[in-house]
Amino acid sequence: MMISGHLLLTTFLTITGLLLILALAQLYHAFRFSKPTHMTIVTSGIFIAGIVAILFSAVILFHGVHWSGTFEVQTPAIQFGPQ
Amino acid sequence: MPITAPPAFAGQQPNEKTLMIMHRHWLVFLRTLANFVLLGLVPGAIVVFLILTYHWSLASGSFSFTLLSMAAVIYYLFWWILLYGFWLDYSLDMFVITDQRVIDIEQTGLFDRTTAELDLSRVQDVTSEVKGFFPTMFHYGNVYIQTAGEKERFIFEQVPNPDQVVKTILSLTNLVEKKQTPALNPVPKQNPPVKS
Repeated sequence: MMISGHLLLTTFLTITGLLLILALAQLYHAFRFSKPTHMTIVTSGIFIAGIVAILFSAVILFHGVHWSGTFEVQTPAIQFGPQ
Repeated sequence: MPITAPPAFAGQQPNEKTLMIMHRHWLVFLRTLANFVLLGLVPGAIVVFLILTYHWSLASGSFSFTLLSMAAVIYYLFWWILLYGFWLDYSLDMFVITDQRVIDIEQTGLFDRTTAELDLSRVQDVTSEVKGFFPTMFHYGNVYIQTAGEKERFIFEQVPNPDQVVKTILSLTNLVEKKQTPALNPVPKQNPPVKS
């Protein structure tokens, strides 16, 4: 079975996008209901930095992936043993 | 107990003086944080176990590697957002004592916030409870306020030094009661001047 790289990437970006919308909603909530204290700003900054770090690691992990091609899905999808 | 004046909270009246703003004890969030740290180690532990036990190897660019990388990114992104959500829930829960009322603000979800207020004149009874090993060692617990209002019982959950909170509320209710019952404190009559 072959799976399109574009389909895989689109699925991943959709899920990631939804999670980022949730993150933005949380940030809005933090500044909406709390006084903009020093603690709120610091924790929000840490939160944003964490998201950036995770997304950056995704860019590094997907560096050698050719999304324009197709993936051959073997059964099981995760193969054990040397490849 | 000295009464301090911390920064104002949202909804404070113009002539209202804020005396205490409390959050749950920091240890409560620390225990949640410890659980999240364990959850964060799970994917890495699974991969290490598979590599060591079943000699699992991944070729960069292969479907297996791509799929697992995607799963890991989505897992950690969700994990991080969930952790921040728990932090928000902890930090936005607050208990406020002013010279006029007590306020319980509870954040029960991202889009669910409840604010309950109680006038000090309607406080009937205040008790504190410290239960368990960690609450006893770190001096935090619950404060129960029996009311004459619609909500019969206010609960300040897991606040630091609950006995001090009880003393503060009781002293404030006594002050309010004295202000409202001037007949119990009559002004002493002055003797008329003696005519010579």
